[in-house]
Amino acid sequence: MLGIARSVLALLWKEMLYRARYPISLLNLAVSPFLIVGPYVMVAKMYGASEEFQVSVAVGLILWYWLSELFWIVGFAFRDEMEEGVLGILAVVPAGLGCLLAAKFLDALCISSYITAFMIIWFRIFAVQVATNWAQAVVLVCSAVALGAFSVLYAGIVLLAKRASAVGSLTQQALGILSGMTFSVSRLPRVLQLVAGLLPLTYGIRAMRTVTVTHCLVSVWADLLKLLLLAAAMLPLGVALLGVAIRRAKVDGTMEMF
Amino acid sequence: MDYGENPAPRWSKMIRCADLGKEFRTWVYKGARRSLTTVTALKSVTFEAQEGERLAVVGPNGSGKSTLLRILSTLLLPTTGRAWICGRDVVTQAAWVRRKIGVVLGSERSLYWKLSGFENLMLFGTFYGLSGFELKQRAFALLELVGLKEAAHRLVETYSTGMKQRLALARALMHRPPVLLLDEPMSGVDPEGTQQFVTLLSEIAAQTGVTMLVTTHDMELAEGFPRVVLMHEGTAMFVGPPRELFRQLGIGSTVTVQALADDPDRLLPKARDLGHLARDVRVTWSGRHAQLQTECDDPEEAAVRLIEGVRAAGGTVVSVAIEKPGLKAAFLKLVRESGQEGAS
Repeated sequence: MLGIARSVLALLWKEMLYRARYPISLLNLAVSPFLIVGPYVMVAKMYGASEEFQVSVAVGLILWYWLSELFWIVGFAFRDEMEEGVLGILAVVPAGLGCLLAAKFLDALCISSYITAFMIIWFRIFAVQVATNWAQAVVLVCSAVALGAFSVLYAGIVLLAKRASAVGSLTQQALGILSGMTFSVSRLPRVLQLVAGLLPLTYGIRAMRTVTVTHCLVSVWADLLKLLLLAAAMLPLGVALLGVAIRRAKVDGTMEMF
Repeated sequence: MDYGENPAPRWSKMIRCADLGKEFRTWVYKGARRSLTTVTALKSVTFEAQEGERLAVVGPNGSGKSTLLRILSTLLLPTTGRAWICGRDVVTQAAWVRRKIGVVLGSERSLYWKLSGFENLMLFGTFYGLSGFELKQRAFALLELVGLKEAAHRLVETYSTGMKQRLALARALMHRPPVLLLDEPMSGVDPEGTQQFVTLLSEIAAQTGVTMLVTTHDMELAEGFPRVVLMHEGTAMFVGPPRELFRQLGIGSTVTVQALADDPDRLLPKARDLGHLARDVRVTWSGRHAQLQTECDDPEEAAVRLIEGVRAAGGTVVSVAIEKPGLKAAFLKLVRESGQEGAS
């Protein structure tokens, strides 16, 4: 167990070193997420939306970015290492590909926290006061766990389908809209509301919006429970799918190619 | 540089393959249409390697060398047959096997280029449960062993191809595995670098007692290995020492002796008296100059006997040349003969 933890941390350290060696990417992460989501909030502000509504949109966008980072970092972990040329060798070391996913998950959490911190600063610069409290932190952790489990499932799909990156952006955008990134899912058509009910981000955003106002976890216990139940369902499914994908890659000889 | 012996327990058969076969299903495209086809990469390969043995798997591109190595390194699943490393099945006990093997995969990109050589070794050493002082010490010792001590803290992207291959070898040795599997480790390396690499492999084998399987398409390089597995179109055509292959195919070394002699009638019977050493001695004359040439399995002994024969006939030896047989010629002959057999 200690060995696995060390391997995960070593891989996380590798991710950090890589980022440190591409410093421009850190600058990009500090600025560009806000440039993408900022206009949504600004439009709301311009049309005289209430402060509560502005914060609601901001919170939805911040959580959507968490999904986005987990989705790309964990979901596309294998493709990224393959492009680096090391996926084959990582598949034959005892640490295994599971450690790689765990490290990528931690890396995504670090990067998402970094982006969130800068987003809050940017929102404040543009006079949108996103208040922070401990209840939000708990919702964030639950959301991250559920989104992480969802990303593991996606990593299996990517390894199976290989060309999943072609629909990666589309999936990310669709998930954002279906989860109520900028509006309440109650505005969606009925069928899409059913789809939204299967997405962890839907409950994460709803819970986060509520605790931002109430500062109280009791008001969101049902959403947190749903988040954790979804994580509990998705993680074993993701691990099973990954097992199938890895076995198939070993049969087809495609572990080192995408 | 004392890298240290492998502390691992010993197994008599370190690598074993029995009827190993691999087929890939792949798409064939004709315009917009596509269909599935099966490509056979390996056909019933059987061989084994004992403890401390150095084995070269040699053959042209597409002969199945890399497929074989990838099955042994648990990266591929075989379609038929079984393979064992240190007595454990590479499919059903893959996790155990991974701890016993050090792998160098063909591509020089199998390293993290944005990390230094030292950082790469530290990272991969951690995967094998190494930590703290032992991890650092072993990383530095191996960097020194492969001649990268000075470049230890440079990013891998600044390394030459040869340096990257040596770093990959050091990485494979981090956990002191009893079995090393190297896939074309000299590809893209210049002749001088290749020679250095081969010398390094010999030193490591002598120092650590590691069992080594190296794939290569370079026949000359493979001749330096005590045993070879000759691959062609997925089949192991020959397994054993190169000398044994030459003997089986009747390819001997060529010994050429240039001599000066006055009396051909005296020289011929003496020079041709090689007994069991050679099948035939060809003699050509040009004035007083005689050239004696023979093919044999023991060229040094045959040369001595030819020299003695020339001297006994009152002649003078001008020069002696020994040309050893090449694996390339043997391989081509083997392919030709197997093709004829197949045709008949």
